[in-house]
Amino acid sequence: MFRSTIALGAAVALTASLATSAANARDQIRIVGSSTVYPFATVVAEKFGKSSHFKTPVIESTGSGGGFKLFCAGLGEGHPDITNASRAIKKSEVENCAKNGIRNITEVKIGYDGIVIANSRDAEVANLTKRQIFLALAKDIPDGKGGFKANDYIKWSDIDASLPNRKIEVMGPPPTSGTRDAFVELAMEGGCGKIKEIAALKKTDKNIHKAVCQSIREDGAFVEAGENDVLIVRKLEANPNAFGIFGFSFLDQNGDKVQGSLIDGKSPTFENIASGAYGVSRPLFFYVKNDQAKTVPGIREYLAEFASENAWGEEGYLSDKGLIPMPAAERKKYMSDAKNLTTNIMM
Amino acid sequence: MTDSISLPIAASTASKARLASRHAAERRFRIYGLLAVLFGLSCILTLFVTILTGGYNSFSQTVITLDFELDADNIDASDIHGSNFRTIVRRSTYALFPDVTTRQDKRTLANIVSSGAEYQLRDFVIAHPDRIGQTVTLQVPMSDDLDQLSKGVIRAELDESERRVSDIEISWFNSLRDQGKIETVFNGTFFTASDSREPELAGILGAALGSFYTLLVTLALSFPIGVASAIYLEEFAPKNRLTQIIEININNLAAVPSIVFGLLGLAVFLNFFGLPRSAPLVGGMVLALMTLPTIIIAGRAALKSVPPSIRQAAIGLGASPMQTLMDHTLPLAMPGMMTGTILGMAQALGETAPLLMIGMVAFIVDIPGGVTDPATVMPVQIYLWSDSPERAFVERTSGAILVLLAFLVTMNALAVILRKKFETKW
Amino acid sequence: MSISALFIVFALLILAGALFQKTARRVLAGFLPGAGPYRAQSVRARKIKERIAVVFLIGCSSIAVLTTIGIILSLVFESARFFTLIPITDFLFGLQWSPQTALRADQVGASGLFGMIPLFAGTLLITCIAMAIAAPVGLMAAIYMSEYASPRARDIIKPCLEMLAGIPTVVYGFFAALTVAPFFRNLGDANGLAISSESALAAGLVMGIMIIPFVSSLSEDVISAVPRSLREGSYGLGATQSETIKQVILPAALPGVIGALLLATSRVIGETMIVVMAAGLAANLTANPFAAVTTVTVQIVTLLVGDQEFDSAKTLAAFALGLVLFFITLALNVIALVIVNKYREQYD
Repeated sequence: MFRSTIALGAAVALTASLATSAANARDQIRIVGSSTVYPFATVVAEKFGKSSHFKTPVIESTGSGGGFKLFCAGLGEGHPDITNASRAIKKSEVENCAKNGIRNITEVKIGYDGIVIANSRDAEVANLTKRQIFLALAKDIPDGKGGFKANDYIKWSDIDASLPNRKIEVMGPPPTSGTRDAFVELAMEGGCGKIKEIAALKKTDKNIHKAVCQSIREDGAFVEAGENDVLIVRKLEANPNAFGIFGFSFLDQNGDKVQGSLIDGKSPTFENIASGAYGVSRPLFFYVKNDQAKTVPGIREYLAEFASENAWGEEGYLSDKGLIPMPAAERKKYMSDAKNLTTNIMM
Repeated sequence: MTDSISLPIAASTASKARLASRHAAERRFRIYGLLAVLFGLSCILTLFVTILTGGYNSFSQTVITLDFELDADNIDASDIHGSNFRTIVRRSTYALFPDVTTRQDKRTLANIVSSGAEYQLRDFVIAHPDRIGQTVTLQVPMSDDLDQLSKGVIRAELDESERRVSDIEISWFNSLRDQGKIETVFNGTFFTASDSREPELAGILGAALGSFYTLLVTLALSFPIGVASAIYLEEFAPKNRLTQIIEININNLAAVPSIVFGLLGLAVFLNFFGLPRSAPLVGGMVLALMTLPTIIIAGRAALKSVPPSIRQAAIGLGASPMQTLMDHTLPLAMPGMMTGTILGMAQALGETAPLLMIGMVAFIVDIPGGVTDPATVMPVQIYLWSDSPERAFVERTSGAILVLLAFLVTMNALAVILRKKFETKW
Repeated sequence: MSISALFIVFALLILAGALFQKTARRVLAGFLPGAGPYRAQSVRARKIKERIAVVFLIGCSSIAVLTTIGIILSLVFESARFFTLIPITDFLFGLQWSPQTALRADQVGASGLFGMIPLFAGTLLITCIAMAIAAPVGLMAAIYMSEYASPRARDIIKPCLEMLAGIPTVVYGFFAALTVAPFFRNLGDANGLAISSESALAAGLVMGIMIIPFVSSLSEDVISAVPRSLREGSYGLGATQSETIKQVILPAALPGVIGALLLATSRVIGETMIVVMAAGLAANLTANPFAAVTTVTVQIVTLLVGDQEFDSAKTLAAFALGLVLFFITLALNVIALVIVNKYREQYD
């Protein structure tokens, strides 16, 4: 008895809720994409929703790759209007978009994300050079005889006596992550160039040069820790030997627990990253389907909110959340692109 | 029952020793069982205590009492939405410390009040348009950093460079507290609001409703279908190779990673049927497919354990197979089926991975009103908060987990009552 | 399209809801004259009724089969694309999993890095650890609840344990990564053992705790369903309670218990969050529980939500992994079925 009542009750409730929210034209912006841009885009979306008469956009956190896949799947209500990305769109993705009829895309750079190497406050502040970072984390290092050997550094002090006498243990993002790509490109390759055996290789064999510079060791010294940066911070807190690689906003919020290491003598402060003195930061983007701005209400207004000085400017609310603003000239360029929905992606 | 019956004859020492060792084995066995139960219970206790100690803070919020002058310059009675409440809030905040003059300090001072204050004020004016032109006194939330300071999470004794709150903010905070303007109150927002990127404005209601709608769909689909499949396979299907293949296939579905069900949902429900993205309806359908194996397996085990004599007796009295099932077998198997459903629903309640593909891992501010509105669910909310940089989200995460557990306890309690109703021991 | 789909769902729902017990009879009674509970009905009407019901039951069971077909279909195309990029033998027998450099088209030597063996070895290791916890604890708890505890105590213990299955995995993840893993590391340091702070042990142990209720609750149900006459017969022959349990009740309950264990194993294989948080993502081919390993499902999720292009070998590998995992678990299930059929004891 009881059961059938429940079953019927559920059926009734379901029909009722189906009836009340029948599918009608979309009046809400749909955004997909990178989990790194997510914390910034959501702040803008929330402000936009509260201060305008439009609905707050729905922002999914799918990863940049998945974001482009959904974004490029087609035009129309069933497909997202905007995708966030922690890297620039790739050629193959542009082609995929074009194949599905999406030819007018505006790229908007929103600012920079600093990538920091941090450790627990219980340990000393590390002062690293890119060369040392490369030697500590590369899969293969020069063996001093013109060839290469598997990286056999165990302690930081083995690389340079000035470094702490601690085991090399660095927690960082997995190879599927844009953060990892950016780190490899900026820190590892930067360090790579400082080692003459490898620099010489660049002229003779580009492929091997690339492989040497971009491979990160897999013997346990580098721990692939997933994308949850809060977890990395808490693991660092518990383990003073370990270092972690993550976004600047997490360092900013957890300054009592972790401290950022100096890279090439510069500490990862907001000012240093913004001025470019601290060399490890990467741009963040979003991409808009221009054709959908006509059918979905609010897209232009959302872009205007995002591209306002109040949001991404030097003292805007995004900088409070840890986004490093672009230089004024760049802001101006992207603001005008966003306002006019200029198609700036070449097909 | 287990008391040994001492036989009057031939109780040799050897047999006594054997008996003693058998009894010792009995005692040991029983102790192992007890230890296993205690281990499980201590695990649940540890987890609960951990979550509670981390989460109870999220149920309180630091608020500040401010006077707002609702002057006609800034408020246009005909367009309250477009009025400049930001300026009013700023002015009231600056009035707290009139001697702050530098631009930098003013900016810092403005930020001690949550950015939600202007919207709270707006809503107040919309509700009380007659107060325009007067000065009103409202309690508004403080910013998350000062809230954390007041709760002791951000420690004032640290060096200024190590904390997010500057010395001047701490001095303002202390002076306001001494004036009695700062209070800690129950955090109602947490239960009445939806997601927000400002911890002090974030709430769980949207996600809780999303979970409710999703589970409603899941239960409505997976329980009847699961039970019906179990009945067919166990009671009606001919015992041949085909049934065996179906059985293996169902067992195998239980081991398919949940994200693959998400891929399936994306391909079938969204791309083929064209159902809306991020909707609890689709989420519920995907989770129903995912929980089906659990319910079917448990249901079959339950039906298997009904003694054949019951069925034979019913058939012998002339009952049809369906009557035997409905009146005799199913009622006896119901508790086991309920167990499968409890476990399946508990799993569905805590699942995030399959929802990613169908767009439910998302920032959604509007509270869903039905199964086709965009919504997220509680475990997704917990996951998203746990990955947010803001420190105040740590306690919100635990708070959300507490709410999820309350959900779970209610659901389980309901199921236990139902299970109790059907229980029969043989 | 969407409206019709909704209609189908709804129609199914009504049908399903209608199935239940007396409701079913009442609904059918409405359609068929003369049919009704405990009323005289023609044999013919009853037969039609029964046939309708059986057709419905078959319909419901076929949903599971359709799901399987759907899953295979949604994996197979992308997997085929993956195998055009990476040779299938390299994938199946490769001993190294390291998709890190294969992102770029201009990369050399990327082929050897998609070996799936370490992932499956990691899955096996973590599953073994988890089952080593959950199987004995769950089974003993089930026996205790069913055979020793008072009904009152059982009514409290069982739902309490079931809570373990419903705690979100993020919570377990934090617990494993921040409490259990450092505990093992310090224990290892104190005893001169090198235990990684991302050990398989921590992840496996916590996962074992999570699935205790899968074993305990489901086994408890089947154990308490063993007919009392069997117990009494055994006691009558002079067996102690534990001997009865071990030699009579467990063999009688075996199919259900195996089913419970299989279900628990499946849950471990499919779990991701705990492994990501506690054991990391490094694919080491090792049987050492103190080392860091990763599992198949963790890689699938990481690959699918990554920032790389969606049609790169990296993302496509997720589909191939899913497909292979599907067939491997299929093989395991076949083996389990054979075992059950061999040892199953039918009483009564």
